[in-house]
Amino acid sequence: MLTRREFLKLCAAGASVSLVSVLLPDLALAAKSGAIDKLPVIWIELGSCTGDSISLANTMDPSQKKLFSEIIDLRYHWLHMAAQDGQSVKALEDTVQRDKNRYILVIEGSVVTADQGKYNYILQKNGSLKTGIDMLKYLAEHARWVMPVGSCATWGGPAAAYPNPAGCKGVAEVIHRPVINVPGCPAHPDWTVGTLYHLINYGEPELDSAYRPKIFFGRTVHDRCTRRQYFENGIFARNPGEESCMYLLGCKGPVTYADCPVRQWNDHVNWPVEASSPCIGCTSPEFPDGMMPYFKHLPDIRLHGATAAPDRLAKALGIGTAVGLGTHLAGNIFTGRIGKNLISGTKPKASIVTKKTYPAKELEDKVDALLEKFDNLEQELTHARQKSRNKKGLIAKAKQLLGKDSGEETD
Amino acid sequence: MSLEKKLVQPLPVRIFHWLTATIVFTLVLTGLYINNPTFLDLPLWWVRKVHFYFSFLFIANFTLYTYYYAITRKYPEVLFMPGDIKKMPRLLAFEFFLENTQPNFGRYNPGQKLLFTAWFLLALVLICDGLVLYFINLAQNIFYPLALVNTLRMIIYFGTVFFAISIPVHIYLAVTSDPAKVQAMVTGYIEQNKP
Repeated sequence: MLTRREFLKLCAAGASVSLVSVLLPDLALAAKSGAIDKLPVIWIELGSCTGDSISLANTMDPSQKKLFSEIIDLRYHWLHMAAQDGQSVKALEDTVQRDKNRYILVIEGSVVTADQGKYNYILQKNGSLKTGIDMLKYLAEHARWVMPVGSCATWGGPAAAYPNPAGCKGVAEVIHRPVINVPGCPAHPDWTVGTLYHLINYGEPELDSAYRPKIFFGRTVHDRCTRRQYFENGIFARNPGEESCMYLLGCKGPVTYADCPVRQWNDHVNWPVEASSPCIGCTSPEFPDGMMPYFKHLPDIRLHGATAAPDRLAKALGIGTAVGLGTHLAGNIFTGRIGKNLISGTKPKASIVTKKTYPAKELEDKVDALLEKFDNLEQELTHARQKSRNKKGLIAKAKQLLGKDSGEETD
Repeated sequence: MSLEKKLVQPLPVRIFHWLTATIVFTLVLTGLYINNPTFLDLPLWWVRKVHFYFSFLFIANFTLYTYYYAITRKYPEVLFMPGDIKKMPRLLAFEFFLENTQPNFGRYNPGQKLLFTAWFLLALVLICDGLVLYFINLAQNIFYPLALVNTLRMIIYFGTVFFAISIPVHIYLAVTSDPAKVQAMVTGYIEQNKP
């Protein structure tokens, strides 16, 4: 069995053949020898096109059958299981009861939240239809790991694109527990199998801030692009199909984290840029609204239903400013202000720091007023002192009189 | 009437100002070219290198510029303060030709201070944004919004556009309304009548 270090090296380098074909025989061997546990896996599909399951089926050697039967213990997958209706639901329920906190829950498709999820019934249990959101909450509660696969399950994806009438959301937004996001539209089979391999053998992989395994999503597409040299030399394709850099055709490689250039697709046959089509940034949390239009460099801006292209908005702002300045200049010329300013603009002016100055007369008046105020205050003070003295005299007199009276009485 | 020379722009301010002007001009040009490299056949690696070198120069110059205003405690002269709100109507009345006499607000008028404050805040945002885009493979690990790279690219784009349209406004108003202050940004002094 591969050590974790060997595994990470293998993932980071990008295999010259499919990672799946390298890992699966190893996993099968390890499972057979009892070195690893065959972990039960429940794979549910919510609001989706089944693209991630189809992508996973796109493994050449060894087959998908080997993955499902020898590597993992797949208990539920509506597309791949032979059982139907009650039997399949029983298998699902048995797994939840018998393997609590042991199974891996893989989710494909976005969580439909509008109208309590009524637009997305995924199975029938005890005679009643169950919505995707209810089943997700129920299954995620008892799962050891929750692994949304594909752009829809991770951040809503195309299902959550504007105007999003079904209220589609990513899994993490709904269940509020740690997840391991494996994005992509669809997710590459290597990313899905590689993450499962890591979970089974070494536990949770190192994740970035968007909960993506860094082994697959640690660097941008642009960093390892097979046409990077064209970009550096400024040789750009003007039309899809031209063999040069796709940057001017809105390639989102510089803002997308994925290892597509080294991993490539369809068992290492090709990848979008090598097929002379720009990267659309499907592994990004901003996909697709923040990446559209696909053939434009920057995404459109949506404000209350109105859409504006950033380039056009910038041009409008530039034109608006130019018109504003032109109008002001015309006003300056018309009023003669500009001529005055330009001819005498640098000539000496009055002091910039203006100090308040008082003319002599004003100052004299102010001093007189102050003196008068002072005299008044002095008079008031003398008057108050006089009053106080009078008061004191009266009190002394009163005391004297009271003293005499009391003396007479005692005699 | 006797004249006096008054120092309006000390040497450090003049150095910082013209360095900022050169750096921002280069950054705006190279930034817009990187966004749309269609009009000249320049090797993009060269343009990007110039952009990155000037970005780091900008950070250094911006830090020192801010430090200068902080230690000299002169920042109320360049930043828009609450007291400037009351002065705005007079400035607007003059700029919209409702009043003929140019009010004397001292070193900078409230409109200029408003623009400088906007530039200062925008520069802070763009420095952070630019660093994230430069260290793109590290930034995604720090916290979630930094993984939204296309949004960050959009912010830096509109920041550049704001600089591209506000710098001509700044130059136009400075040159047409008070050439003496433009002269002071070169020599440091203005000539004025003694009070």
